[in-house]
Amino acid sequence: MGLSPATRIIAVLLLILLPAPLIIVIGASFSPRAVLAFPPPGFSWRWYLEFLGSTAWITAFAQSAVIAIVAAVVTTIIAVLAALALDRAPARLRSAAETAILAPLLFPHAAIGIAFLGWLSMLHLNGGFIGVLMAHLILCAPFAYRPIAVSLRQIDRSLTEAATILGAEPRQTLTRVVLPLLRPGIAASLLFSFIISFDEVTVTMFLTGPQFTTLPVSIYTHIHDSADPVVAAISSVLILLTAGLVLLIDRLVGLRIFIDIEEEGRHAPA
Amino acid sequence: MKAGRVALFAPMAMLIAAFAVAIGGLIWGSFTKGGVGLYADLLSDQVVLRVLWRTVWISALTTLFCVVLAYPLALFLARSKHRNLWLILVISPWLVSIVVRTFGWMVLLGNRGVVNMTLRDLGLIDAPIRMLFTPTAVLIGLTHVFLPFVVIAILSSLLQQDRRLEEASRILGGTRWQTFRRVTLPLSMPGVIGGASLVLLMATGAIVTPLLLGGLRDRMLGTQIYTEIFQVFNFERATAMAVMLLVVALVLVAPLRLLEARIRQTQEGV
Amino acid sequence: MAGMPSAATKGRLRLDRITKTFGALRAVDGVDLDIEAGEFIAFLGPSGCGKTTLLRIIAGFEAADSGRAALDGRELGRLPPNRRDVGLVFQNLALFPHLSVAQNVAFGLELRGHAKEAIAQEVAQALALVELGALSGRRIQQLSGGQRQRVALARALVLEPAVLLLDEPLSALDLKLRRQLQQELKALQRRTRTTFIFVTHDQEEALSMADRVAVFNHGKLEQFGSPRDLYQRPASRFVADFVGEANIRDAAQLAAFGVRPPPRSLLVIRPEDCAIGAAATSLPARREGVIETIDYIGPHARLRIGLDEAAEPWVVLIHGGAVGDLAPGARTVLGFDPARAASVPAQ
Repeated sequence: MGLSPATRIIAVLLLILLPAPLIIVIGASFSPRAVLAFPPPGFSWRWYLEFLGSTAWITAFAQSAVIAIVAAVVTTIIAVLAALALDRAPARLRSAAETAILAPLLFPHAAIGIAFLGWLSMLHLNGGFIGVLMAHLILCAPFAYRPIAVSLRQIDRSLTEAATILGAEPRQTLTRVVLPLLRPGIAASLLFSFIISFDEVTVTMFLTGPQFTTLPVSIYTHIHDSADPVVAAISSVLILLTAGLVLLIDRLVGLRIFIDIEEEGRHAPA
Repeated sequence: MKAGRVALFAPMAMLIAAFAVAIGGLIWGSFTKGGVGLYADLLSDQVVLRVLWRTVWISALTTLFCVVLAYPLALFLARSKHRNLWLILVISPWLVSIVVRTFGWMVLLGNRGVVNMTLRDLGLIDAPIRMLFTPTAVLIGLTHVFLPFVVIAILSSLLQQDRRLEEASRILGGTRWQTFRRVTLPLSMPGVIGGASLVLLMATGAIVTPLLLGGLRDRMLGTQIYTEIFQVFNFERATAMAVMLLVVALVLVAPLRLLEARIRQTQEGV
Repeated sequence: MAGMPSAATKGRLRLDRITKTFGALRAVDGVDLDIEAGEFIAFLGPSGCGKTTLLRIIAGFEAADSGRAALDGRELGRLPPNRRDVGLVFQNLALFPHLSVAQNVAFGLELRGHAKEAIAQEVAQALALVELGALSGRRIQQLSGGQRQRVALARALVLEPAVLLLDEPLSALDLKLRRQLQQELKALQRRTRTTFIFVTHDQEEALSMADRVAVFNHGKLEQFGSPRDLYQRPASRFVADFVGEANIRDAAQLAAFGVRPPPRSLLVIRPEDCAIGAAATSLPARREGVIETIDYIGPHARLRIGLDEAAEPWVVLIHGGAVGDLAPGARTVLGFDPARAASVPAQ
């Protein structure tokens, strides 16, 4: 069925507007002067050099990367185990468990931030790596679980039965059939949790401290004080990194996974 | 087998328990430390009431804008042959950190930002229009930040629809508009409502975007909580406000959830 | 596999009072079957008759509520599917999408810990058997429907199971390919002398392929016999109706012909055993009727002939040339020979 011209116009405008602020940030990052302007009044790598030369920025970047990698790997492992545990579990039990896994999606982030702050302060984990990591594991869990649950559900039951009748013990069915077929889900889960963790700011900003901070939180603090082009340069790096990961997801599993995940989320009772 | 399943689920159960303890601790703490009197104070404070009201209407408007704009885009994507290409333009900005995207709008909307400079260069204005640090800026920013969530949600339910239903409507004599109104739209309502409740939830709990684009004058609950903690250092008040935020989010989202359940009941017969 | 003797040495399956219920539904209801080694058996019946459930019980994916199954004298009991020496070709084939053709076929051999060189040789032989030798490196997604079918067969047969179960494996294919694969399957079974149990709802498929056919209805075994037996000596009204086309008439309906079926029985008169017009005059049972419709099916013509308003019309199959200038609405004589008709119990 054809689309009305109005629909097309709105769609095309949005397809321009959605990436527009990001394009402008990238453009402004090449400004040779200390003012943010687009188009930039010239071209220089000055702010990128400043970023690379700053120990504080590089440390924040490295800490973010470490947190994101650890969070992605650990949540993905936890999610695979959980998905296997719930596979073919009684429907009621399964849906109750899934609701609990997806629960962090149902709370406003500002409230989650305060909740973690209070809890981690009691454990004296506030302002450090472990505290932020724990928060990120919890926040990433729904995003890690869903692609794996989707992938697992897409594995036809007859495939595991085929493995069994060909002689496989349950463990062999798992390693030779189920896990290889889960690969797209695992890849999506890793990339997805990495992005969530690497970008998270609303909850994380309650939990960072003088010894430990993440890149988005540093950017936020910096913008809050002064918006100079070094932030634009760092932001551009983040934008390109994210775009790269999106293309990687597209290559490895296809962007369709984002849509399937959404569908899965709506089928889980909330 | 049973014991095996429990062991597999144990790590995920620990994450769920940690989250439950954090949220439970938040609510418990707000009553034990601050007490009911604290809530009475908050609810009689004109500033807090204004913040509360602003949170409600900005979140509601953001949700409305998101749905109205996302629908045509989702429709366009659902019908497009180059969906994957366009999806990159929707998903990449979606996954870039909120701080970076908000920063992009600061560059666009600032007094010396792209919009004001362009208008000045065109001779349309003499003095810059104040756009940053207004509720309008917050609305624009939040809509931009959350739009992709709704696009993906609606797209997912559009793609699930059998295209032949629309063809059936057309062959039965329905016009393009009638077909949309009576077939396409009703069938995509689960996606619309699912996306809308997600946006409503996230908008009420947003901190970064309202703080950077709205400034300290036009606060929302999230920003108020942030200020209480990091500027006033009043942890009890922040905790009580976080609980208020939970209640507000719950009250706003509940009708949408009920509606969603109702629609699913009639459409899927479950 | 190549060195398999021509007489089957294994694959004798005995089922004894097998029963399986799902809630209130008796999916399999007291089924006894004795299948000889090397037989090609078809399980035939409408969907929901219990044939697939019985297959899954034999495979070990479902446990029977009661009854016993034994393969070559060995009780199957609660043996898991991987220890039964039973092969299964799934309805959707269930080929592993992450493995190549050769890797799919090698899967079971690797689990059994065969040596690499031995596996390669066995896989090559199995693929040669199904004429897929040239495609061993392909991915499953690159194969046509018929080729996938053959991979599934090779994957099951390479393990030399005592019994190969096939769960409607041809149902997704178009008619022509289906016919071709039916012939290939039959030839393959003859060559390997493996016991085949083939589940289908298509009676033509069952009759043309199997040595013996088991007909199921509502979980019960209605009849177990050769295709010829089933057609000529149906054991029940259901079998007479389900296998081939039949005019099934009770005593009241036959009274006008002057024919009396045995007590409490129905007569089963096949359409090709009926005649009309001049050809009918020599037959012992005759009546006049009106031609309602004439359909030409290849060389044959299928006529529906109404005897009076109330009774259901008779179906008659004659040579197309014998129709002559008869047209719907014309009156003619319908005749048959009661001696050629089978009888089935009325209830």
